[in-house]
Amino acid sequence: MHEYAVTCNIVDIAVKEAEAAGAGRILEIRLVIGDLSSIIDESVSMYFDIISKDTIAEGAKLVFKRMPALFLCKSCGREFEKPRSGFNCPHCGGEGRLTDAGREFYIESLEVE
Amino acid sequence: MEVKVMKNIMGANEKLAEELRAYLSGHGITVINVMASPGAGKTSVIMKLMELSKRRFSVIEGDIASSIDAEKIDRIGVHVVQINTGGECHLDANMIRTVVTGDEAFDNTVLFIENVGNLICPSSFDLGEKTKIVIASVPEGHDKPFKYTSMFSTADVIILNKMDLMPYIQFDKEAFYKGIAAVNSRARVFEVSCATGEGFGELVKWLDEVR
Repeated sequence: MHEYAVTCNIVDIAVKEAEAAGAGRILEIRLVIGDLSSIIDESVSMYFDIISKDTIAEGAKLVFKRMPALFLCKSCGREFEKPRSGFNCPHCGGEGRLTDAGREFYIESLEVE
Repeated sequence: MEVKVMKNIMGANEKLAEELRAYLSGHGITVINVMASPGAGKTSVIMKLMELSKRRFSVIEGDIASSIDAEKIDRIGVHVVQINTGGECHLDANMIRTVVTGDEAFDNTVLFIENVGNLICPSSFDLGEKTKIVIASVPEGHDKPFKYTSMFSTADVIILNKMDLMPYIQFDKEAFYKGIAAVNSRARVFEVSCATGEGFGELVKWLDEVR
């Protein structure tokens, strides 16, 4: 829901990093986003077209690498992705505990020229 | 050419929040960020706590467009500032910094920040707080920790409000607690009712010790 604020940050960071590397144009921005972030890719892309206009990021391709929210089963010790309903282990039915996977929210790299 | 970045997208807000934290600590301000869905009882819980605790308080009210809650707080003589986000779904560190910096009425108080009513976005924005409270209420149902995983996983304290309605609502308390246990092993959970005052003794005891 706060994709506008998020996209402003993405453009800001990408432009600064590209300029620091001496680049004149950003071709691609690779994002790593955990599923717990509640961010909609299409919404970021829509704002990106507007916010990046007249910057060196205009026209850049956004690549979203999605990271699933992972739970760890207390009973069998296996990791599993957040099920559609409840937090129990799909293998043994044991209770799951949320791990840190799924909170990722960063720019991994840029392709520039 | 590839440029490695590895930078947190929320980094700008987090940097501001850290700077704000230094200011707050220098001015004796203890911030409690209160988050919940609309109607869970954020204002009621805050007002009840201010009535029962002997500490000095101040409040920042975050809302999309109204000042109804701020007027309630103003009437009981507590320093309150309204932030209207104009449609934004959350408060951020810059909004809090703008309001708090230089306003001495906030100094040496416990500052409740009532966030915009929303169980999604506010969980992503650090406001320089010491503690995050998430309020759930009985009529919302027991499934909230399952649906709003991020929000419930970031809470330091979870309050289950409107306990007086328990006899009238199909609320599976065991499922609610299982959901919390799965996503957050450290949060303390309090059951209260603003209507009857039930459960506030323990909560006030906790509040009086927050430094």
